[in-house]
Amino acid sequence: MAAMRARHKIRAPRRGVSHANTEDFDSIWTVLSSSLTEINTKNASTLAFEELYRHAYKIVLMMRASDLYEQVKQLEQDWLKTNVRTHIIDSISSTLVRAQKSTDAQDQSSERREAGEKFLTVLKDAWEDHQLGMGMVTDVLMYMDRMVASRTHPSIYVACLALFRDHILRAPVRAGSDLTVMDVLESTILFMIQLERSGHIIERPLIRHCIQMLEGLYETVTEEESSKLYLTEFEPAFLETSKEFYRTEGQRLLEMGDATMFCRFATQRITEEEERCRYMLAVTTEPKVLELLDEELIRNNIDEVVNFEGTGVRQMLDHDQLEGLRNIYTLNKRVDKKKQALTNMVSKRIVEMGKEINASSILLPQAPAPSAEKDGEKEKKPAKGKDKEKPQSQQTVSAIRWVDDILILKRKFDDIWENAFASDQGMQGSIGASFANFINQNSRNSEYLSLFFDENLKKGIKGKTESEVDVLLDSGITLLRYIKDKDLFETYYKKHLSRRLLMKRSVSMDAERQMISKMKLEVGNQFTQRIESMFKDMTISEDLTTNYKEHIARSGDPDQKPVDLEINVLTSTMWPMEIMGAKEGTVQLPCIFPREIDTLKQSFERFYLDKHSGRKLSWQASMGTGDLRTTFVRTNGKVQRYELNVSTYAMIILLLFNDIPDGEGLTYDEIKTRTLIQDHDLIRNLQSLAVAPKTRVLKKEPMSKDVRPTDRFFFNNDFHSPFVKVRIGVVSGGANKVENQDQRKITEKKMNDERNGTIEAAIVRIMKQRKTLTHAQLMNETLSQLSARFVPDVNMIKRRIESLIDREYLERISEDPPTYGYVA
Amino acid sequence: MKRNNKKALRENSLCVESIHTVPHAEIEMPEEMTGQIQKIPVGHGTDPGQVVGDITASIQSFFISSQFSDLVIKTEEQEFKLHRLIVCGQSEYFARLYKGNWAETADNTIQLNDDDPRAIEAMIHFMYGIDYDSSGNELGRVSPMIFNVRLYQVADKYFVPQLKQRAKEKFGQIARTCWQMDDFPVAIAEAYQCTQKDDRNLRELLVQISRDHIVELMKSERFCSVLEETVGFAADLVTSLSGERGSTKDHHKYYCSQCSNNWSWCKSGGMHYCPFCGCSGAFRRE
Repeated sequence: MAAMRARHKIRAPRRGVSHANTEDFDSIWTVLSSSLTEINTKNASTLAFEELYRHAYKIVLMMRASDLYEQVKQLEQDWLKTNVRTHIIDSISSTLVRAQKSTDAQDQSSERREAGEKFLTVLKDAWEDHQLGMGMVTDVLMYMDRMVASRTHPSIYVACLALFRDHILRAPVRAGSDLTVMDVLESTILFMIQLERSGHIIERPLIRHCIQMLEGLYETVTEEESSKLYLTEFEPAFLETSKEFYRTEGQRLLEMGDATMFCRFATQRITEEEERCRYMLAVTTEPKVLELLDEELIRNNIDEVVNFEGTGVRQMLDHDQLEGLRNIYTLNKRVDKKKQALTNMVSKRIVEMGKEINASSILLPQAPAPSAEKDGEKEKKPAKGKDKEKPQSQQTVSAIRWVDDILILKRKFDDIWENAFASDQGMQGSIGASFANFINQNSRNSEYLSLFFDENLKKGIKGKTESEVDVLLDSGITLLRYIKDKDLFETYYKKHLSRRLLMKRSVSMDAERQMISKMKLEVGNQFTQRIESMFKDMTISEDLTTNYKEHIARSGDPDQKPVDLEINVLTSTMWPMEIMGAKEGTVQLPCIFPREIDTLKQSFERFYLDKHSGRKLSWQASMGTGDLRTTFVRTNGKVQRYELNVSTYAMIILLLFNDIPDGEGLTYDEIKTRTLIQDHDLIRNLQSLAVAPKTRVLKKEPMSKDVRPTDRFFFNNDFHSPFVKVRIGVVSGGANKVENQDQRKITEKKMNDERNGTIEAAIVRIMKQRKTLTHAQLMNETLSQLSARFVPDVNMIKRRIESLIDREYLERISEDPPTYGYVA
Repeated sequence: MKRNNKKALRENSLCVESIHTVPHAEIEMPEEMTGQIQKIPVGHGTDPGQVVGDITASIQSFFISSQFSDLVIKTEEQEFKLHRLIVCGQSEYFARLYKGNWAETADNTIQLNDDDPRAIEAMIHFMYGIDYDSSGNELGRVSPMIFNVRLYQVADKYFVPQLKQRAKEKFGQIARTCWQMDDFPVAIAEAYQCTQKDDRNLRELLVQISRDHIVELMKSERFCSVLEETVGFAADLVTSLSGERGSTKDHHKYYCSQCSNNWSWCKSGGMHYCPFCGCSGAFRRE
């Protein structure tokens, strides 16, 4: 260190510049101010930044920073006031001042527009020059700015920009007038926007620049976002005029009375406003003006638009005007999350259309209904089957058409929902509810739907691909979803299914299985359990048949003429009883089988009971068919053979004639005593054997349409048929048809009984688990447990509870609130 | 000095970097060797010390070669061919200059005649990540203490905050050890002239050192004359001497909006007038 000291030659501090005293301030300022004026006149490129900066730096070192700051401000203010302001005010033509009062766009529009554009251009240029100049001034005064601006003063840049607001925008247009430049600017821009709204093309970039100016200026020097002149001055005015505009626009569009047009215009307006905000105004204004548009143009009018006579939603739905619907949906969604107006209309229309379908399905059968009612008894008597069957099969057709129509309707609305309603969840719900509504108005919905499946599984799916079948079944299943009384459907389905299975009417067992698994998915395991066990019985029976055949082949008596047996062993609880002919409460007496058949029967019984001891087989002669090889000896001695396929009963009757010498006959009573077939079945079978013209294997005396106990029957050797194989159906047997009134009553009664059981089971299940429950809770739980199957009547549940109390499953524990306990 | 420099280096990441990449940096040299020609470290691609992608080294190599230079800074003595990207990145002054259309931007030459050419040179070196030697170079010797004051001033004027910090640190180290030398009073005078009143960096240091050694310093004639002449220094020193360290706790801080001055005053005494401009209503307690 010591060595260093010697070597260092200490320089004296550089005085002069930095030592300037206050007198120098004025001389430096003179230089500086003339340079600043150069900047204002856009002549900066000859100025040296370094020099200006150095001057300012010196002044700051003199501790005169705030003086400099004030001087600069004053200079800029004077500049604006003397030079810029006059220029701008000169550009405001008297047209603009006059037009100030009226905001009507059409008034002398072209003149005003021209004047406005001129004014905006001048103002915009002045602003941009000012902004640029102030930027340069601030750069030069950077050192000062740092000293001063950090305190209470805003940056010189902010301060000078604010001068523009005070001395240009807020300057009066004419001496002594209240009207400021800002007012003219505002009204001019609004006028331009109105012009654009009425379809003119305007100078967007120009307006954009003016808006940017308003966004760059603030009410206060602290420059909070919210104090932008754009937000404090322009936006409120813009929103106010927009509101007014859309109110009248709404009226105007309503008067056109066309929903499609309304939507088109409204949608267009929305895009217009979005664009306008994005490219001309501020993005932050977009939600505000759209909210206002929604309110004035859409929310206030949407109900009317939806309900427009002739062009509204109803019309659109009827004519599948997807675009119109889509527009309405979009508009409604803007103003209402639930889309109430549209949803209501759609629901209403669905129910209306659904009711039409319901009505037309009833209308058809209603016409012949009275006669069917009258001839209710006649139907069971021998008659010309064809005529009698007509109303019922017609009804079946109309039942299937009912389902088809609904499916068409459903597809239509699915399509609309998907393409026009953007797969809206809420809409889906309400559409579904509307479908459920009218479907459940048809009390025979379950039956009709089951018939629809029956029809399709028997014939409809022939020649269809797997995926087509899938779609068909799926759409059917969708309807099942809407049906309230699923248990009733189950009953019908089982009944129809059993016919299909036993009579081998099903086209494809695969389709049947598919159907079951779909139902299982839709309604649940419990629902399909019994149906599945029907299928199981069928498979087991197939095995039995083959096994039995093998058994016979092994042990068989070669002497005996073998009778082929194809057997179906059905578990009695799983299959619908009525198809077995068993009427509630009546014990069916077994009929007497002819010898051959009886041996066979006994042989099978031995075989079966050998395998499964402890079971009881009861033979359902009312079901099944028999193939008979029949020989007819013509009077000329010729022999004609036919193979007859007849019902089991008919087979028994025909076999009787084997034991009777030619030419002799049997009376009705004789047949009855020999076979013990019940009147009802016997008459029907005799009718088809002796009355039906094409299958008259027996002759009847006297010839008449009815079968009377006094009639006699002969074997008809003259029977003639173009086919070798003849199928002789039983009158009103076989096919699945719509039930007539009586059958229906029976089904309903059965249904009720079954429901009672189900309800009781549910109640006991719940109570066993909960031990005690109040009445209301128990009701609720029961309802929710059962709702998957059917919607039970509250009174029905009450009665079941009473009944369970009587039978001491439950007990009353308290009266207030009513509470039940479980009796173990 | 060497030890002190090293200590400072640890605190300044910018220079640590230059040590790492340029092992022969001049700061490693003993104080006695500074009379030799200053070696400017060269970061050629062949330098084994250079890491691939080492931006500092490549920037320094462009500084040496003046390649791609797009900006000239002239002082009274020298001409530097520099790069806008580097210079504008380090200094807001140059950044702002290049924002506008000025005479300088037209011919890409900036004349800086008003400042100490040595300080400008050192500043430019610093911008390129090369540390400076406080005692100047072959072009001129200067007192390290005063040189750092000038560098501080230049850094302040041209808005190079890192250099300001660095100059302050170096100045502090030198002044603490060399306060008894002749250039200390000169440094006081210069520092008080070329910095702002509220820029306390150098002023605090000077006042503190002066206070710590007041008895010895008062024996120096030069110091006494500086005490008389330098505006503000005497006042600062008295304040510092009268109050113990941390005594400002008992003081309120005041700020006058009329004259933009702020000061402290003991809490016990009421404040009725601004001591600077005499106004009674425009000041407030902070």
